[in-house]
Amino acid sequence: MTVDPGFRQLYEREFPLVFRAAFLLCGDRQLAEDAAQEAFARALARWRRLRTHPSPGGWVTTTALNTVRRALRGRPSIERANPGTADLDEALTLRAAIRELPPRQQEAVALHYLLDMPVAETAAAMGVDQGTVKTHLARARDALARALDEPDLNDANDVRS
Amino acid sequence: MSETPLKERLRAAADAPVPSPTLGPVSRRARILRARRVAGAALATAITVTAITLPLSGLRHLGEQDRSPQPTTESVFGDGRAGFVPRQGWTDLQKNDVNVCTSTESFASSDSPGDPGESTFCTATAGALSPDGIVMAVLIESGPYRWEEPNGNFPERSFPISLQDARIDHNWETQPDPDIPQYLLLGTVAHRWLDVRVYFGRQDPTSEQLAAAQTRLDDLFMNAPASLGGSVAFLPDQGWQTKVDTPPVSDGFATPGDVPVAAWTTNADLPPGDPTNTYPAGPSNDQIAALPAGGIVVAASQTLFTSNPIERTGTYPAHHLTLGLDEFELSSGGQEGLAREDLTQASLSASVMGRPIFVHVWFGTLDVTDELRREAQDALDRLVVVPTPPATDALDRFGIALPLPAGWDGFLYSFGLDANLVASSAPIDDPFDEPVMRRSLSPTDVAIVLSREDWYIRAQLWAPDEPPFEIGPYDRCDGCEVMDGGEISAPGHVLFNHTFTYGGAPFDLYVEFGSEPTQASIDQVNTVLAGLRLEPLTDPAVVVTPEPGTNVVGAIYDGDIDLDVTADTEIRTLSPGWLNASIHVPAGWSGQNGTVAGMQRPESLLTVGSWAFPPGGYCGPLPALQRLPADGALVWIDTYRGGAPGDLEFSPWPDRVVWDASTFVADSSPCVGNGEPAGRGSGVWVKGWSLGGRAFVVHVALGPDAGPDVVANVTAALESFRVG
Repeated sequence: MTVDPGFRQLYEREFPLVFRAAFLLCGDRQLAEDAAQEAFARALARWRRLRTHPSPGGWVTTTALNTVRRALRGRPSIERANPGTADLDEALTLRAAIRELPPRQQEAVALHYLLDMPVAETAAAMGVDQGTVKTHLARARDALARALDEPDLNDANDVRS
Repeated sequence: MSETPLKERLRAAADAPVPSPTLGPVSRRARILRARRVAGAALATAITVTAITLPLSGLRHLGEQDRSPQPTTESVFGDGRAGFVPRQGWTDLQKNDVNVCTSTESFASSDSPGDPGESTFCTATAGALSPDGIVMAVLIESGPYRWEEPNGNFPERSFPISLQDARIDHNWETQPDPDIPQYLLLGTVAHRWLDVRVYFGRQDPTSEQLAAAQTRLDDLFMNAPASLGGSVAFLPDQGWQTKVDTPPVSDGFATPGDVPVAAWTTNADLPPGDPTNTYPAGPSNDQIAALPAGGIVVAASQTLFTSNPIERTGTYPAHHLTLGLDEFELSSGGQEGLAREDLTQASLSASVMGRPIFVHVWFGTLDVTDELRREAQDALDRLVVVPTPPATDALDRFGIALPLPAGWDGFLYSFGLDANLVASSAPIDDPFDEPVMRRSLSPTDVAIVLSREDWYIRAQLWAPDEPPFEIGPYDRCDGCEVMDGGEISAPGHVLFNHTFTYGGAPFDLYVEFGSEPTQASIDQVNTVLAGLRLEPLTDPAVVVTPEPGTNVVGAIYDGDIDLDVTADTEIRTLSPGWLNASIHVPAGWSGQNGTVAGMQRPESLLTVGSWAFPPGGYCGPLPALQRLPADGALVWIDTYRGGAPGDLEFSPWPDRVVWDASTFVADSSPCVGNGEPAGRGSGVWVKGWSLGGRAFVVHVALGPDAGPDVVANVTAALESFRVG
């Protein structure tokens, strides 16, 4: 089949990142894979417009996060009774805290920290200005610090302009 | 740990083996989404790249009728044949399926099929009639396969046709004898153009002749057109391949013809297409990519189904066959997934015979000559569309029915697997653009959006629900987007979202109020929703079967209402059959052991409620929560066997339970609905307590109007909990 090379490049480059962003939110590999595929399908369906988007990867990521949030509604936490190693506990705790964040903060955290997007690109992907992104990130860090009981976590140095 | 940069910690938390990206499913899903967007968008702008103007006005353009199709019954295919029931004194000459003559006298040999001088209307026989003789000729002008609409030449008629409606020609072209008049009856009968000519042996037929002719007319039958394989199709033509395909989907709800269908025809010898890259079935991108310079592909498809008037959407303006190429929107270049720039495309979205279709023409060149246009127009002329039953305002199809209150507006549609219902107390100008309607809701208006999902997300396992379907405080969903539409509700609006499964299908129900709703307005909406009827899925191929998978809850089970302690039970102690636990149920309240059957970890131990609550749920007692009275309360206790999870904190069960924020925290788990407590003192609250070496999770749900007496009953019940 014929797929625009630009989309193919985006897919091959960004799929692991989008998958991981979705996994961070849900902790469910199957759901994360499905959500990532759904997000890329939506991107391909409107590729002619999206290819000129300032951050198609960011668009796909936020779409995947939306997809995960929707799937999680009314669904039980799947990790609640799977305690394991300290690293796993840390991951579970962090994912649970991420899940409690408002959607826009989730998106900002995923794009900036996970996909390593600078604030400017994160802002472009989210369709907001850079100040708004910084606000989302600051509030997210603050919420995570409180949820994890780690006041030091809220360190603005984590933000990369 | 806190010194580790947040970024690294997040990446560690997101670390999981990445599946191998496979583009095939993504591409197919994209094609489905694109087809739907085209179906729902005005005039297929999705494929428009660069509009160019071509001089098409000189092309043949038929179908100027201004009458909307009004089929009367569900279309059923036949063999397309017309004929006469045998009658003594009459001889029939069946020339072919659509051409038959009948006469009181012998047929002339030159009227026989295959004779060089054969006349369609048996005029040779007419010319030799005796004065008392009668010849009748019938031709279905539209052929054995085509369905037609009435027009000026062929006005709508029905059987039996009456000779009194005939136009009488005493002198007429090809008249074989001056004494032979022609009684001409043209009409559209059951969507076919019928041409009936009656000849008498004298210019002034006797009353007996006229009566005999009418009797014979009453013997005329005409079967429904034969099928070309789909509700849209192309008549075959020499040098052109024609195909009708349906995609490999099944749907237990689909009424006949509700499967997405595409028909296409081409004058080119194209390679086999990739069936996974088509939706609906039709030419695939690789086939279009192989189209030679003189090649043409004409495709027509239906992916949208509704019983409601489609013309109101504006997306599918009414058109009549045959479609004129000069009505199409033109563009050049490829399309998504087809990077070929030397193509010319023409497209049209239209309601034809009441059926919303999308017609697409590809030319394998940017230089579309007059000859190519004529060829394409000829192909368009061969388009067959089977009519649909008349449109109705009722919302009842696809296994979904909702009676609407007077003054409400609604629209129900499907793309073949899903089903979508939009209803509102406000007018809905364009059902495909319902966000506009919701944005403009007045403070007293409300809108309902219901979608039966065909989403391929396998993990979408929402909790089951039973009718009556309704919204409650726990469905309030501030900040949510309707159907992931990309925007939250307008300022001042309040959105509720209830996701559930019923009959094997997942449903997404949204209710948006134009202002903060009162309990009365919520009740009013629930009264409307009480009329909602959903049919269970019947096709196992598409039934969503919840499965526990890796999660810690068991199979979903909803039992009958079978309370262990009712409001009238004398013994007020509720005691599960294991663990030796017990709780005192307040007077007038109800209690049940193991309300959420199948939960494995934690297990559902017992539930106490201020009313006769229903059992069941998924990982929480959702049916009960959804019916929580505004002034009611529900208490449920889960427990862990084999030790509590390490990440949960359990403090000793207090002798005295104090109802304040320091004791309980808001329960935002999806197991209690959409996670957001309704505020104003209501909501769901949770606390982990240990007792007798066991770990328990205590949940309390309070309605917004629950008073101190209700809270007192809650705390008293919790204080009565015993183990051992």
